[in-house]
Amino acid sequence: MDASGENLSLKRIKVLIAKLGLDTHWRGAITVAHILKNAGMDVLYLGNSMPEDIIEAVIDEDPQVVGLSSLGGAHLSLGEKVLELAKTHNLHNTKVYVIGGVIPPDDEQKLLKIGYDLVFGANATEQEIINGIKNKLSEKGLLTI
Amino acid sequence: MQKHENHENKSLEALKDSIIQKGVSKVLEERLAAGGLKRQKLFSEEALKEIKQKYEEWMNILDEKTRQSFSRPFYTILGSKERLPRSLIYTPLDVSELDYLNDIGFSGHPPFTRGIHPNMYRGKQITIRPIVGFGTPEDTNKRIRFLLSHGATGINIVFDLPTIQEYDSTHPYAKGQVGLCGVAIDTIEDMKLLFENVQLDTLSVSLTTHYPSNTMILTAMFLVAAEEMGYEWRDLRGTVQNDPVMEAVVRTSPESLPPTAIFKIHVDNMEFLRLNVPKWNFVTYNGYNLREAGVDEITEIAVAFSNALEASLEMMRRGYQPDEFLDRMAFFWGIGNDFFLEIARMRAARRIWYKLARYILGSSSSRSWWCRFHVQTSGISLTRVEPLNNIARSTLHALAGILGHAQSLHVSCYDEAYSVPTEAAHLISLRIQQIIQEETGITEVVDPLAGSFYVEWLTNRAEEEILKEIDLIWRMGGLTKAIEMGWLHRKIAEFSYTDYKQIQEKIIKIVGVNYYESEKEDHQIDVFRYPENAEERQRIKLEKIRSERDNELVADKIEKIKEAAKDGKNLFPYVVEAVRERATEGELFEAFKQVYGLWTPLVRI
Amino acid sequence: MASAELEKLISEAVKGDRKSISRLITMLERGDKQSFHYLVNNIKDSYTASYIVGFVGPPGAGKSTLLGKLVKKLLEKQGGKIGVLTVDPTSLLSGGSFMGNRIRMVEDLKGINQVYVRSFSAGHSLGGLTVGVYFASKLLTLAGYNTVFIEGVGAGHLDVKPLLYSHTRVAVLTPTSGDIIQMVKAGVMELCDLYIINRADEGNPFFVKSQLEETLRLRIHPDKWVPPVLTTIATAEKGVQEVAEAILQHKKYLEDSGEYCRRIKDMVVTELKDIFTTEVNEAFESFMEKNKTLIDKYLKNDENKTAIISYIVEGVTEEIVRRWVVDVAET
Repeated sequence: MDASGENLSLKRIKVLIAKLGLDTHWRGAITVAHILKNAGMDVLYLGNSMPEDIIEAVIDEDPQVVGLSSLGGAHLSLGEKVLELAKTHNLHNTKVYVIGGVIPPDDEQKLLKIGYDLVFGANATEQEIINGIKNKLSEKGLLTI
Repeated sequence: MQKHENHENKSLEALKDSIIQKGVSKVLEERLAAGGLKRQKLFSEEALKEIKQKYEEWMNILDEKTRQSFSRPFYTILGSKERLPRSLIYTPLDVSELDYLNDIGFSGHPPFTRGIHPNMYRGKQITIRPIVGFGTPEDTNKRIRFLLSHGATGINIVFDLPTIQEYDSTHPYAKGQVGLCGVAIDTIEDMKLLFENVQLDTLSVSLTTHYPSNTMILTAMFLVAAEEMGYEWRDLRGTVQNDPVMEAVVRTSPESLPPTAIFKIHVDNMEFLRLNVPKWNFVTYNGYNLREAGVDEITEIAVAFSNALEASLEMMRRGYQPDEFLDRMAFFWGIGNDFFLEIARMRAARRIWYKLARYILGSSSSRSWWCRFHVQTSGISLTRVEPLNNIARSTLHALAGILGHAQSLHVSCYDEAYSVPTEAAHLISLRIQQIIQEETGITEVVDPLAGSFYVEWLTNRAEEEILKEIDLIWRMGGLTKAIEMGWLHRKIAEFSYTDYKQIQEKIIKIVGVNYYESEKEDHQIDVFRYPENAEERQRIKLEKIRSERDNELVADKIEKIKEAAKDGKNLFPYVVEAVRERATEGELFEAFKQVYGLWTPLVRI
Repeated sequence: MASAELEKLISEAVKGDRKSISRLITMLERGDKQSFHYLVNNIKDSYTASYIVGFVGPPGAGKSTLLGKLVKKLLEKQGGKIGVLTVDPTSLLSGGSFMGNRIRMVEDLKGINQVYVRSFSAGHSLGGLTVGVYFASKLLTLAGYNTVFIEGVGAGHLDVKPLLYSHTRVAVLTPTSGDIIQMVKAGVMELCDLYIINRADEGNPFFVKSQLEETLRLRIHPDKWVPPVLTTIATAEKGVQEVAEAILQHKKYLEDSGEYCRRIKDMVVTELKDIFTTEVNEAFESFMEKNKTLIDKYLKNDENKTAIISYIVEGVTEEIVRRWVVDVAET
């Protein structure tokens, strides 16, 4: 397995994408869904969800990656709750948690501290997103069963 | 306005059918021809002939490379790209059919290309209407009074997500989101606190109630609040959005009503407000947010106009004459990077709307022919890196808006990509507008770009493209049908992906981001911090209200809303009744849900 | 994974532990041979205990929305646990997929413990259903889910698989589904036990319904089950009660008439065929990967093509046997 993530395929990797809370903007989430689908991933789009619903989906759907989109300012309040529930259900270490959207720089650091593997701003490039996810999956040993 | 009891619906049905069968352009063409308009070309045949000759000679001296790419698309964020390629140079040959009086005319006169009022900005300066809203109503009230004392002549209220999505601050879905990005309103009491010590009869109030369903609820609260504060409805001036596309397409939500219900509530709002609050703009078709979601300059206008047409036909079916309501319709466009296209399409929009209002809907008062619009400079075009560059971008956008002759303007703040603007950023936006208006002399002259071969050509092309797309929408059965089928959602999903890819591949250039890339992350700007515990404060208020009101009466009023819905009546008056008794927004939305059911849009990629 | 570990995982799953169920399904989906073989050998009870309902229809018919309401209604009527396995197409270009069915069901089903919903991507197998989905349905049966719905890809002719894996076969159409009668006559939907015309507030549902009923009357032997044609408006929850009843009626018919056992035999044949086809495909790809020069050879005019094909047949057969033997040995 290549630590840099090069030449590793994302095929058959399942990713759950949800909008945090009542956030109304969906183009970012759908664009990322598009990118990941074209990279070979199986993308499950959950739409607007509260942390409890997200975790319920994570339990049943068992994705390797959980992606949250937040442009409504609730990334800390709700984002933290998602990870809290993930840890309670022992779903944190075995998955890659990603959050993206409109997030002030200070909050980025906070999110990484509470356990998000990756934080993306609105200008994140396709390469950054795909490589970021590949690397984290590789680190957590999730690129095989 | 009054309802005409013996109105003729058969001809309306026939009109709708012919628009669906043939498309709007064809029907328009037929009716214009029937009107017997005589055209007179501006340029003489001899002049054109000579110019053509010289033009061909000139073309031959161009180098091969330039000749090959003489006309080429220009790529901007969410721009029309290949739809509207530009030539190297424009001459009278590009607008050889130009007829000054029929195509351009005078300001305030058909076809209104040059502006809807004769004296445009000399007569009425652009209304400065800043956006405000965060935390609890008490928090926002302070900022409103700050802005008014610094020269703002109108105010634009934005609501927090729970309020927009129609959940009470205490609802589980609202958790962690109360007072963020907008002000929290749960009941009429909150409305009263929001406008405490504000003179409502001298202020133009815009309530950014995006959706028909929250428009009905929040406007009802505003109206009853104003009444209890001692104002007459007939003296109130303001605007609401009330846009079905916002509710059914642009936004996503855990729960959504079906498009047909949304459209009905939309027209209910128009009808009620027109009859009861005469100075109120009861609809602002929101192209801005649709554009930001992921469509180009053309679709933005085509969708808004199709929406307006559909609503007008419904109003006519309910028994109203177009001249009784068209004068209060308004639009809201975004302004992006393609400078001249932005100006050209605003001119084209006015011309198109005039034709639609007069020749399709059959209105005869000139007030019905005006395409009145507010513009906001594009948020999505602003970057996170080197945020101060955004001041330059917004200035250019604002300039395009003014040259395009918008009735009012909001300049997006430079810290757009970070959060809700700080006071300092807000002030700069205000100053940009004031500087253009007071220091440059640009607003002294009506439509200064008229006559430019490029701008007139682009105006014509924009009109063509917009009408083509309106035709497409109507051939699908109208906008509501097109939305139900998922056409607009799919368009947005595909277009925004294409846009994204083009930014990645540097086909769309963004300075500081993918061109002349920024060396370091710019973290030095101050970011707005939301006031803490708005949620808690709202919860306390709600508990108090629930314990003090007559709960049985509220329940009864809500039942009446549901009955009225089942009978197909206009719901607004019933909502007003419920609001008076302190029904909450969440309770009212619940009633809508129970009657109309829920709908999930078909988004597939 | 060590045998002991796998056994523990399976025993937890069978007790109803959702995370274990999910983990196992993931393993099956991603081609884990060990869990696959273990289940093949230990799921005999699932055949006679299962009740699987296949749900197919064109995109936009409203299957997912209808399922959400239907499952809720069935739980009210008969309790127990219900599983929903929903399948979306895989992009032939990228190999990825966009799964948008759960979002439409979740409105009605979220927070309900007795419901398990899982989304799949069809993969590249013909018929739009992977061995993974089918075995997931068996696993759920073992875990105590008395009914499992399999919602199909809904792409016309490719839709047959969910039906072949089900005891009760349901087609969901709309009044404007194009020429429904043609679709039915073309054989794709011929084998359904229940037809639902959803979005009955559009077009002319009753005309379509009567046409469909006529066609079905002519096709089905009068002694056997005559597939009912029902109309629904899923978003308004209209007609859902009737659909639930029709399904339960069919279930009873299957048991009373012995059709249940006959269908199980069909399902077994399909299962074996699919297992076999998957093995052949994998072996073929593996063999061709190692013998790429054969392609150029095949294109040459002077080469004996039959000989080349024979060579491939031999090679692939060897590969199948070798892989299977290794697989079985390892588990």
